[in-house]
Order: sequence, then C-alpha cells, then structure tokens
Amino acid sequence: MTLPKPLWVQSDGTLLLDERHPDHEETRKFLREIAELHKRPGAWHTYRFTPVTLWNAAAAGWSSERVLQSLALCSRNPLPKQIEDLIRTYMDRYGQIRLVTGDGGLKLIAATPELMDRLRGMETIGPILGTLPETESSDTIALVASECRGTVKRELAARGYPVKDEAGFHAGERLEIELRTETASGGPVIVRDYQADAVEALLGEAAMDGGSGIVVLPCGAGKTWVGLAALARLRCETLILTPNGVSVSQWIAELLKNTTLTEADVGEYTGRAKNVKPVTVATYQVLTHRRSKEESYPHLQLFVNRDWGLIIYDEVHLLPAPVFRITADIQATRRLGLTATLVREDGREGDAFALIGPKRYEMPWKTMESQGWIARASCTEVRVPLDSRTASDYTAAPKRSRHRIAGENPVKAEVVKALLRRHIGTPTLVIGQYLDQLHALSKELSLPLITGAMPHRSRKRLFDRFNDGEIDVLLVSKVANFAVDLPDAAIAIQVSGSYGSRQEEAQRLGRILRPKRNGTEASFYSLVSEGTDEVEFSRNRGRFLLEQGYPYSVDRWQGEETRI
Amino acid sequence: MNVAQSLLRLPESIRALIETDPVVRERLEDGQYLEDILRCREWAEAWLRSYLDTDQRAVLNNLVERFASKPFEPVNLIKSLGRSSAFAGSEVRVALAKLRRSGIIFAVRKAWGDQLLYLPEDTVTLWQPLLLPLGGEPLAPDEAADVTVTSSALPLPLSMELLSAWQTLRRQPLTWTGKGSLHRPTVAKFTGELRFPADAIRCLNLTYPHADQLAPQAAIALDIGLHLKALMRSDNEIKVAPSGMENWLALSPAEADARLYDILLTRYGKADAGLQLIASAVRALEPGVWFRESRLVIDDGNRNGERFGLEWLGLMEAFGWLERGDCAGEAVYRKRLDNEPKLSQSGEAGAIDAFEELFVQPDGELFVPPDAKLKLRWMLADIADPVTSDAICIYRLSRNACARAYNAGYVLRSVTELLEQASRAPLPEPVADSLADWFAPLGKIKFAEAMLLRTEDATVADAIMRDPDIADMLLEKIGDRDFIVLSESYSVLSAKLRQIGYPPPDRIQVISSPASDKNENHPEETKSDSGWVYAPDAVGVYEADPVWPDAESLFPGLSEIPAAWIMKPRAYHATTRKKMIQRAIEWEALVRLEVDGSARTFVPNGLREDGDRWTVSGRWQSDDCEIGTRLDKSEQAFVNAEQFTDMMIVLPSLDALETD
Repeated sequence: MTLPKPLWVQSDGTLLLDERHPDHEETRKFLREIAELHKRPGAWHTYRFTPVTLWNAAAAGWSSERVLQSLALCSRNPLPKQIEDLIRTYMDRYGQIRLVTGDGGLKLIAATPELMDRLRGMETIGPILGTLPETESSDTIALVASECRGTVKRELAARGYPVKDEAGFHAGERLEIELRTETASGGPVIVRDYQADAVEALLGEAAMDGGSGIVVLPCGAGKTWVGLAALARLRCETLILTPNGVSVSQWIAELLKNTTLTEADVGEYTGRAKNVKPVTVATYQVLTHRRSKEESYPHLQLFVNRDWGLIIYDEVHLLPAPVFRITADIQATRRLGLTATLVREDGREGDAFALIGPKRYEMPWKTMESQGWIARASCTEVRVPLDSRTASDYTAAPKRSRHRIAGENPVKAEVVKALLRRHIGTPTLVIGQYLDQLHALSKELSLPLITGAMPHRSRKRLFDRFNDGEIDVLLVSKVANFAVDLPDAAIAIQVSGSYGSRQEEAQRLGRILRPKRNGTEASFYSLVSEGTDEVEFSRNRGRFLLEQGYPYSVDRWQGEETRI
Repeated sequence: MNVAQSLLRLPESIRALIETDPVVRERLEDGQYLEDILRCREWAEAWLRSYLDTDQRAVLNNLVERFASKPFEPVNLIKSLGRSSAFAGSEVRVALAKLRRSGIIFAVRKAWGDQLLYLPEDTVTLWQPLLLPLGGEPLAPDEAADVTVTSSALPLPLSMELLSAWQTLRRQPLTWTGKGSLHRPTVAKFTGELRFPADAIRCLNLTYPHADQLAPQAAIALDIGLHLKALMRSDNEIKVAPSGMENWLALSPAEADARLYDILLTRYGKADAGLQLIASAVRALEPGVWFRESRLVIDDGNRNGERFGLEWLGLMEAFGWLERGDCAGEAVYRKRLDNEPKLSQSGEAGAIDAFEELFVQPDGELFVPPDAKLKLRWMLADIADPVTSDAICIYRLSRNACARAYNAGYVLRSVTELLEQASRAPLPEPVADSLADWFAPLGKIKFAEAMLLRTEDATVADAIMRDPDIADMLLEKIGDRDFIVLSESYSVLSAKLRQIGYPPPDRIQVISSPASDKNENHPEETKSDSGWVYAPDAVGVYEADPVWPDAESLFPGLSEIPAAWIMKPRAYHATTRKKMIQRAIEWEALVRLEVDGSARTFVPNGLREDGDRWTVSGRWQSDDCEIGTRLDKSEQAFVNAEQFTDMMIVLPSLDALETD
C-alpha cells in the first residue's frame, strides 16, 4: 500500500498539510519558505501563497521551477494550473527589476526592454523614471532620484512587481556599542541561537539586498534581543519605534542592562519626553501626532534629525500609514521589522515587503514551544452565568449595550477570586476591557491596577515590582496588550475583551509565554458570560488561538465548588 | 434506448428467434441472460468471428459509422451504401434483417407504418472499439515527461456541480407560471452553481423549452436530474425526488461521473453519430495517460472526426474530466475521469487510500476529500456552510447552519453522529462545545397547531371542567376560558359537551397533522419523465416492430415469378429478360449476366427504353468473394439487351432468416 502524500494544493492558493503524516516535518519546513501559515487548529494545517510569500521565497534563493518540483513531490493532487501560473509569475518577477547605485545616482534596471516599456507605461511609475544621458542610452535602465527609492519600490510591489534593492545602505553615524557579557546584577547576557540566526539572516552578505527585512518570532521569544544584537553588530546610531510608552521604557531598560550604552546614549521620544540621542526609542503614536488634520506630522522629522544607520520597527504589523510613507523616503537606511505575525489587519503586507524588506527569518510559535524557548500554555474558557438582575438588564438592553453588560458580569469577580486562590503565589495578570470593571475588581480584591491613565513612571514601577516578585497579581487594561515584558507572568485571566479582535487574544496569551524558571506551564483563562453574545465573540477570538495550535477547553462556573 | 429496454418491448416470437442465433444460443445454454449476452464484449467478438465475411458484418460496420445509436430508416442506409459502395439494396435489407435476428439491432414502427432501426445506445461502446478503433498510441514515457499542462483551470467534476445546483432546488423548487415564466431568482441560484461555460456543451445542440430564460447549463442540469429521477416534475415545479436522489447519492463522485459520462454519450451524443463515436472512443482510453489530439479521429476517415474530437475534448475539460497539454508543440490530452471506477461498495478504494470521508477541524471547519460520497456532501450542505469547492471541499459549522440543520430535521445528536461516523473520530472538544451551544436554544420555542376549545366565559369553562370525562380530554388551560384539547378527541368531546348541555357548532376546518406530511408518498416520483431537453428520434415513443420479415415481404411478388429466375442463369427471350431486369430493380437485387462468354454480377438501377431496344444501367460488382471489394464503389455502367442472353436474379441467402 502506498502512503498518500501529506499535502493538498487547492486552486485558490491554499495548502492543506496533514500533521499526522510521517513526512509532515519536512514538508512544513518547505512550506515555511514559500507560504505563510494561515492556521493550524488541528491535524490539518493551512498555508497560503501570496505574492509576498513567493517574493520572500525568491529572495531566499528559491526558483519557481524548484518550488513547483518540490510541491509536486509532496502534493497528493496534481498541481492546479492556476497555482503553477501564480508561482511562475510572481517568483520569476523577483530579480527582474533591480535598483543599483551608479555614477549618476540610483538606476532601475529591468531584465528586458519590454519590461522597461511596461514600467514606463505605468501611470504612477513612468514619471519617476528618468532617462540616461544620450551617451549611455539603454532601453533597460532608467534613472531614479534617490528620494523616490521607496516610492518606486512600493508602487511596483503594489502592481505585482517586486524590486530587488541592491543600492546598498549608508552606514550612519558610528556608535561604540557592545553587548555586555554580564548584567549589572551578574546575570549572563546570552543571545540565543535563533536570535543570532535571525541577525545573520538579516545582515548576512549572502545577498546584495541584505541589510533590511523582517524577523518573525512569536510573543515571548525575545524579539528585543534580535534588535539589540543587530545594533551591536552594526554599531551605528539607531532609531527604535514601538507601539506604546511602556514598551519604550522596556526597550531603554534592556539597552542599558544588556549593552555598553549609558543613559547619555539612549533617549526617549514620546508624549512626555523628547530626547533625541544616538539611540532613540519612540512610539508610533508620537510620530503620527499632529494638532489638526490639515497639519503635517511634525514629529516625523525624527527620521531625518540624525544620521541613523538602523531603524527598528517593533510590532511592525501595527506600523501606521504615515510611518510607511516616511519610511519610503529613508530607504538608504537599514531597517529591521520585528513582529509575531506578518498578517496585517489592513492588508498592507505588500507595503511592509517593499518598504521594510523581505521576511528574513521566522520561527513558529509551536516550534519554539517544543524547543522550550517559550512556555507551554493551556487555555480555558470559563462560562459564567449572569445573576438574575444582570440577566434581565441584558435582555432589556439594546444590542449595542449588551456586550458591555455581559463583559462586566459581576459574577466574574467570584471566578477571579477562585482562580487567584487556586494559583496563589504564581505571578498572575488580570486583563480587562472595561475600566469600571477593573476599578471595581481592584477595590474588591485590593489589587494594583494599571490603566492608560496611569503615568508611565508609575506603570513602570508597578511592572518592576511585579517582575521582582514583590507583587503576585496585577490588574491591567488593554495597555498591556503589546510589548510589555513581564517574563514571570504565568497566569492570565481575561475578564472581558473587545468584540472579536483575534490579535488581542493572541497578544494577551503572549504575555505569559516566556519560559518559566521552574518550567511550569502557563494558563490562560477567558471568562465569558453564559447565554450572551460574549460566547460567540469569545469563540471568534479563541479561534485564532486554536488556529495557532492552542486548543481551548470550556468549563462552566457553578459556584465555589466548580473545578476549573 | 438500451438493450434491456429494447428486449422488454420485444415480441416474444422475435425474442425466441434471437435466442436461436448460434452465437447467442451457446451462451444461453451456459446459463447467461439474454440482456447480459447482448451487451457483452466476448459475445460481440464471437459474433464478428462467426460472421467474418458476411454482408451483415459489413453493413453493421457501416451503420455504426453512419448512425451509431441514432435511429435510421433502412432506405437511408441503402442509399448511403449505394452511393459509396457496390452493395445492392436487397443485400442491405437482408443483412439488416439478419442483424435483427442476431439481436444486434432492433426495430420500431412509426404509427404510419415506416420502420426505424436502431443500435441500442449501450452497445455503441461495445461495437465502436471492435469495428472503428481509435488510431494512435499513447505518448511514450519520455515524451509524457515533457508535457506542459495547458488547461487553464481545474474545474470541479460535473457530479459536484450538479450536486450543488440540485441542492438549491431542495431549498427552493424551480417553478413557472401558467404563462411559462420561470421564477427568476431560483433560476439564477440554480445556474449560479454551474460554473462550466455554455460554449462547452454547444456541441450537444440542445433544444429545450424556455430557452430564452434558461441557460444551456441549467437545461442540461435539469434534464440529467429528471432523467436520473433525482429530480421530479410536479405541476408547475421541478423539485428533488427523495428516493431517486437517495439512489444517486449512494454513489461516490468517481462512480457518479462515470455514469454522467455514459448519459452524455447515450442521451445527447446520439444526436450526432460522429460525436458519439468519439465519445465512445475516448471512453475506452486509459485514464491518466497522454494521447495526441491529432490522432483523435475514428479510423474510417470520418470527415468531421477532427472537429468532433476537439469539441468532445472541450466538453470533457469543462466538466473536469480531462486535462490538455502541449508536447513539443503538439496538442495532447489525458483523461482524469476513470470510466470504469472501482465500485465503492467493494471497499477497495478505501484500502488503497485509507482516509476518512471527512475531517473535522477543531475550529469547526470540515474538510471533505475528493472521494467522499455524494450523500455525505449532500448532508453536509444541510448542516454546515460551504466555504470552498476545490480538490478538498471545505464547509464550516456555524450558528446559522445549525438553525438550518434543525429545520431540516437534525438535532445535536444526529449532527454529532453524522460527523463522528464520517470522520471516524470523536468530535474535537471545541466543536462539540460549539454545537452544543448552537443547538441549545433550538426547539425550545416552536409554533404549533393545536385544537383550542373556547368557552364564552370563565363560568362556562369552570362548568365543563367539573365533568370528569371532559376534564380528562382537556390538555391544558389557557387563561380562564380556553383549553387546548386533543384533536383526536374531537368527536367524543363534542358528544360529551352536547350531553352536558353545551353543544358546540360543527367543525368546519380539519387541522392536518404535520407528522402526516413526513410519511407522504411521492407518487410523482414513479412517473417516467422524458427530461427537459427535447430528445430527437426517440424510439421510445414508437411501438416495437412486431413483424418479422419473410421472403415475400422482403421481395414482394417472389411467389409469383418462375422459380427458375432465381435458380440459375438461363437464356431468355429479350422481353423476359427485360421483365427480370425490372423485377430486379424493384427488389434492388443483383442480376447475373453472361456477357462475352463469362458470367458477371451486375447491380441494375435503371432501365432506358428506345422503341424495342433497351439498356440497363447499374454497376458491375466484383466477383471476388471478399466483402471489402464490394465496399469500393464502381463506375456506372450500361448494358444493352443484345449484350447478353443468359441471366438470373440473384437474391441474398434467406436461410438464416428462416425459423424452426
């Protein structure tokens, strides 16, 4: 009996991989190179081709023919013609258009005169492409002004034509920096293998277009370390952009703790402080702040204030549109994107490819878990009934108010207490959507609460105390969704969540995935009011975790005696 | 019409004649059934061997090539053979009678007496490979390795497209008004599920009612459904026929597609013999093997062979049954359809590819592999939302789908059982939880029809409640003056109420029990339906020809002529010779003439008189006993009365036609 092959190739570009198949691991490695993992809820994992994944594969050295041959070898069904065409079309285009630096400035080189004609015929591209002096005339080369380097790449990527940027980078102002061998408190400073591999993949000189790109690592895998290691290797002034102020503080703390930089070298550029120093950490929010819609973004000047040699985009999937635009203008500067997912809610993956760079390194969530780099986690949805008064409020309320009534179900306080008793002594985060609910819990349980309204310094103090083990339980609002480093947190109790944001659920789980010193498993509880719309919203949110391989179990709260 | 249907209508006397044909008889004696014998390749090969050099073999060859299973009048075949060969009409007529005797062709008679002959539609695939095999070997393995696939898409097989379209009729039957206007939204939904282009089936030349409102794709989907009895017509609507559909759904997609191929070949292909023969030839090819398109021409030089080939390949490609490619600049094709799939009941397919019929993902998605039974797909459409129809079909469980499933009669347990049986595994916990959540509110509230006993006021209500017999029949009190009562107790309760002095008025409306609908028989299902597409030359509408041709009916006036005319050549007077020639022309028979001292065979077809002189026109027939030489048409010739003295009329042997 011949064993069927492990993969089904659908004509819409979806790839279905059977995890139970003996060749699964080998096939998975191959698919990671050419497609993106869409979901892995059970034994069948779903991958997808996109132009960006195929360009990433081409950037990594794959040819379309090799991809097709390898695909045919592991596919159970004959490859659909559309898929063959898709792979050939997109992959073969990679490298057909190159940007290089020449005597007269930047030159765009097309593989054939016909291709150059096509490019010149494009409405938004044609005017950007200048002609060479008559003595050097060529029907495959066009001049591009250096300030148009990003625009031409972005516009062509949007039209399905990737540009291989071989124009190189400028070094930026030199900065003396090294990773310490040990921290001030005597702990060793060690860059893990995969973090070093990620830096090598980014900066290695294997390809001429090396130096910019995106590193995909799950929450808790230490993406900050990739940034630190890249900085130490390039030794140049660096701008680091992050989603929020807490994250700024944590980057600065890590820089000071693990590198030879001092406070004089590191500046914070946020709503509360505007210090531009050789290494500056800023928020996306401050960069996109402006007084009125008519005004330009004054803080985007930060990009050109200094001679940066590297810009790091933390949580690059959250990069706002104005930052994309300015990024187009600084293409001579090396760029490093850090993220847990390439999927953007706004669908602008193509912009990230064109302006930040191709994916240079990825290690999936479950692989890191199996290798012990992140903690194992169990997810439980706890169904909590409404008390009779809340139930009648819920029924009588208009649809728009129901979600909040269900989210703030007072019975959830009992469940939180029971869970805290159960996990007493284990660092625990209680995360909620509604401030009233969190304040009430804080008061009832006498626990500290961190919200967006709390000054950053106070927030940092509380996070530090939590990390130092002085307090076991922290109540946090959605400010803690992203880029907050609480390595010891092992339990997360989500008392309420937004309607169906898949990203939020994943980020909240990510808070507790750092490997624990004692090797214990992390637990994620999501409290959901039984019989309300919250059940369905929770199901939608939880589906993302299921798709990542974290199954949910469902328990029902029936009073103190419930065994969760 | 196929062999079984033809035999069913056949007069017993003619059936008995067929059973005495030596090639048939020996198989009957071995215990085989006549229906099976007349469809079996081994019998066909034996018959060809037995009748190797006979007129009937040559005539069969010609009629298969010219008509395939399309009914024909004998005169048309005679004319056609007369134009292209030296066959005499009498030879053709007798050969046709012998082919009837052998059970190869059958006859019907129109109401006005004309006879139609036909080859049963299920024997085209039997005779075509033997008589008109397809030329062209498959590509050699090294050539096949260089093939580039050029098919631009991989459409779903026809069985899947039809299933999706028929599913829309389950939810909303297709209706039309008295004036013939079809319900447009239903037509749009139905047609929307059929993604093959209309161009692909243009070669079938379909004509059908409401052609202005109905695309050809929809017409053929309706027609196939009605033909298979998976759909039925009832008043002004076409809807799913439960038991017919059940039979169809028992098939695997591979079996269903093989059946559909045969329906296309027999039902629509017979409109054009060339197309039907190409379809038959392709049917016999091995699946998965590449062949050259240029060789898809029936050997006997069919003039339209190339066009038919390309049209049929286009049709198969659109139905997901065929892939086309390019091999060093030459167009090639390979079948994806297996016309002889392994039967699903055998379990063989499962042994080769041990795969669940269904895979349930913890996030509620259902993966259905290509070999999953149609029945499972049909049921999944009731309980889940379709997401993708592709190599793997994907469905998703949802709250709305559960509500739909509940309305279709499913409950949590039956959905769970269906999914667990098909996936051969317990449901993943998140799926079981979701289904439990979604089914929990279903059925908690429902509208019910109940018989209400209304009283004028609470006093009357109290009064009737005090009677213990009546109280037993009151199921539930509603408010202070109404009761729900058992509808079955209506008569007894009425009598009782009359007894106690509260006679109710007579009931006007009888409430039907919804349960009775469920057990409703569908007598319409058993009705035969001619389908949606007009089928030209349908022999089914005519009576089987009960008359067996004897010598007198084949050659009218045979008994009135001197026996010597047909016994041996003799010298006759010119007047007699003229009479003989005239009789031969009437019978389309041959004559043997002694010309210049040698006897030669002539096929007379006209007599020209000039006073006492006359000249006969016709063709000389080769005296070579090889049948093949007579298939070559000879030049028109003229013979004067003076050129010969001895002659006879040559009639084909009628021995085989005689009965015991």
